[in-house]
Amino acid sequence: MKKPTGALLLSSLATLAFIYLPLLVLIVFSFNASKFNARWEGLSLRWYVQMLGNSDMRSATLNSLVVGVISSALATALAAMGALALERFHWKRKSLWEAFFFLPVVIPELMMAVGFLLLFNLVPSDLGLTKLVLAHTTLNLPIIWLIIRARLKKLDPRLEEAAMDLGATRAMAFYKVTLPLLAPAIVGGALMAFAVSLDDFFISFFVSDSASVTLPVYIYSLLRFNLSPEVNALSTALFVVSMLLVAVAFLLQGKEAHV
Amino acid sequence: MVSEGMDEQYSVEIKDISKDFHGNPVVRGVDFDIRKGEFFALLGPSGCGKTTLLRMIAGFEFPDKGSVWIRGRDVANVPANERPVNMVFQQYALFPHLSLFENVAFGLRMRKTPEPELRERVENALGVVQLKDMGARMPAQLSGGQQQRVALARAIVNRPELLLLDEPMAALDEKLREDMREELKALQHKIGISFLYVTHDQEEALELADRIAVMEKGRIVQIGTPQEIYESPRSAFVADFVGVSNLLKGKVSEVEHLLVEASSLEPGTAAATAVACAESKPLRRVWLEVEHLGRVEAFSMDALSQGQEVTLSLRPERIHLSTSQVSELENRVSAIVQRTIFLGADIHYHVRLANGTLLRVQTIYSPIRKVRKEGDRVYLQWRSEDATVLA
Repeated sequence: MKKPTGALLLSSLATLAFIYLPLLVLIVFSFNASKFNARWEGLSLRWYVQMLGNSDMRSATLNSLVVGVISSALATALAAMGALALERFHWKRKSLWEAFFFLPVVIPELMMAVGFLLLFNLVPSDLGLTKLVLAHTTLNLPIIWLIIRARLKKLDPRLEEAAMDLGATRAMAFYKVTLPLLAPAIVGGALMAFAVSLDDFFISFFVSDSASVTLPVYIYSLLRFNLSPEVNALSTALFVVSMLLVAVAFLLQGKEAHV
Repeated sequence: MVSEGMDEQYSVEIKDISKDFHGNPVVRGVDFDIRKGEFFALLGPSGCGKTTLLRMIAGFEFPDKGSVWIRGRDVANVPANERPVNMVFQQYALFPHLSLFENVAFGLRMRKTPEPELRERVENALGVVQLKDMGARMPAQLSGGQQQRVALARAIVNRPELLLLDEPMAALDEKLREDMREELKALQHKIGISFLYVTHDQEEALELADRIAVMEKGRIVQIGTPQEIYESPRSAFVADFVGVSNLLKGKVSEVEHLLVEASSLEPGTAAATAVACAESKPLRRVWLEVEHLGRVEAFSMDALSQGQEVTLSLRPERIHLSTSQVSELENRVSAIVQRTIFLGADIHYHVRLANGTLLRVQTIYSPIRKVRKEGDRVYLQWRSEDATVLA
C-alpha cells in the first residue's frame, strides 16, 4: 500500500487535530501557574496539589471507584452468563433476545437517567450508592456483553466437545477450555466498563444525591461556581486513568486475536 | 450383558439405532459391528447421516432407539466423557491455549493419571506421531499435518477401545493427504486400536479400510471389503458412488436354470471376485435386453425373473477398446470417440453409442498402442462376467 501524501495527509492530520485540540488545551492548562485560564504564566503542579488536598474531591473519587468496581463486576458476571446462554443453547427469536441485550447502548442516556430517577423515587428508603451501582450495572452490561459475545462467536464449540470426549464433565470442559479462552474478553470488557462508569455523567447526575456524588458530577458542580484550573487538573487525571484502562482492554483484545 | 465371546471379538456393536432431528429421520435402523483391530470406514455423501452416526457413538448425540455396545455395556445414553472411545475432529479442535504436551495430556489429567505415568505416556504418544521434543510448542505454531498428528496423539494416548475419525483429511491439501493416509494406516497397524473412519471420499475408504459401510439417506446400504464393494455393488447408488460406473437400464429376457460353477468363471473378473467374497453364492447366467446395447450376457447372484427391470453396471476399466471388428469377448458394440483424456498412466475415453448414449472407458496408456482421437470409430468389448446386474 502507498503512504498518504500531500492533501490527504494534511486533511487527515487536520481532522485529528480538530478532535484532540480541546483535550490538548485542557491538559496544557492544567499545568498553568495562573489562576486564570486565558493567561499562560508558566509550568506548575499547583492545581494537582490543590486537587489532592480537596476532601470533597477525595470522597467523590472514592464514590466513583466503588461504583465503578462493583457495577463492572456485576455487569461482567451478568453479561458473560447472558452471552453464553444465548450462544450455547437453541433460542427461538435469538436476534430479538440479543437486541434486548445491546439496546441500552443506543437508548438516549437522558431517557435512561430520567427513568432511573423516577424508578428510585418509588423506593421509600434511601439506597445511597446502591442506586448508582444498579444504574451503572445497566449502563455497563451491553458494552461487556458485546465484547464477550464477539469472542464467543469465534470460539469453536467443538473445543468443549473435544474436552468432554477426553473425559471432562461439562463443567470441567467449561473451566479448562472455554473460560481460559474467554478470559481476555471478560477482563477487557470489565476494564472498558469500568472506564465508562468512571466517566459517566448523565445517569450519575440524575441518580446521585449530595452524599453520593461521583467525580464527573463533582467536576460539573465546580464549574457552576467558577472556572477553577483545578477542574483542568481533575479532568486530566480522569482522562489519563480512563485511557490507561481502555489501553489495557485493547491490549487484551489484541492478544486474543492470535488464538 | 453380552457374552464373553462377543466381548472379545468386537470393539463396538451397533444394534438398530435411529435418530430424528425435528421430525427428519437422519439415521434409520442402522446395524453393524466393528471387530477388534479393524479399520472400518463409513462412506457416504454429505447429509447421509454418517456424521450423526459417529456422534452417537462418541456420545455427543443420543439415539431415539437402538443400542451401542462397547466393552459389554450398552452406552447409548451414556455421555461422551464416560465412554472408552476418543475422537479426531475434522478441524482437529486442538486447545489453542495449551501446549502440545498439555493437549495430549488432557485426557490423562481428567482421569487423574499419576504424573510420572502421564509424562511417559504423553512422550510416547508424541513419539508415535513423530512429534517428539515438540511438546512445548503451541498449536498455532504447527502446520496442518502436524496439527492432525497432535489430534491423533491426544486421542490414542487414552488407549480407547475405538478411535473415531471424522473426515480427518478434509482440512489438508491433496499431496499431504496422500502422505497422511499412508501414515494413518501404518499407525493403526502399530497401535492395533480399532478405527472408525468417516469419509465421503471413496478413494480414501478403498485405500484404508478393512471393511466399508456405504450409507445412503440414513441407512447402511452395503457392508463389505473394499474389493467386494467395488466388484459387487448391491445397488446402482453403490456402483456409482464407489468408483466410476456406466449404469444402463435393461430388462431380463432369459435366465439359465443351471447354476454356474465358480471354477468355470474367468478369474479376476467382477463375477469371480463377487463369488469369492460371498463364499460361493449360487450364480446364474442371464441375458438382458439393455437399452442402447441390445442383447447382453451377464451373471447374477439374485434370483431374476423374465421381464424384470434391472440396471447393468459396467466399470470403465473392464471395457476393452479395439478398432478391429473381430469379437474376442462375449459382448461387443460399436461407438464413436467423443473425448480423449490423457492422464499419463491412463487414458480415459468418453464414447458415444449409435443411439447417443455416452459411456466411459478407461485404458492403460502404452506408447506402442495408438491413442484414439475424437471422431474415431471404435469397438467396445467386455466379458459377461464383468457386467454386474443390479436388481
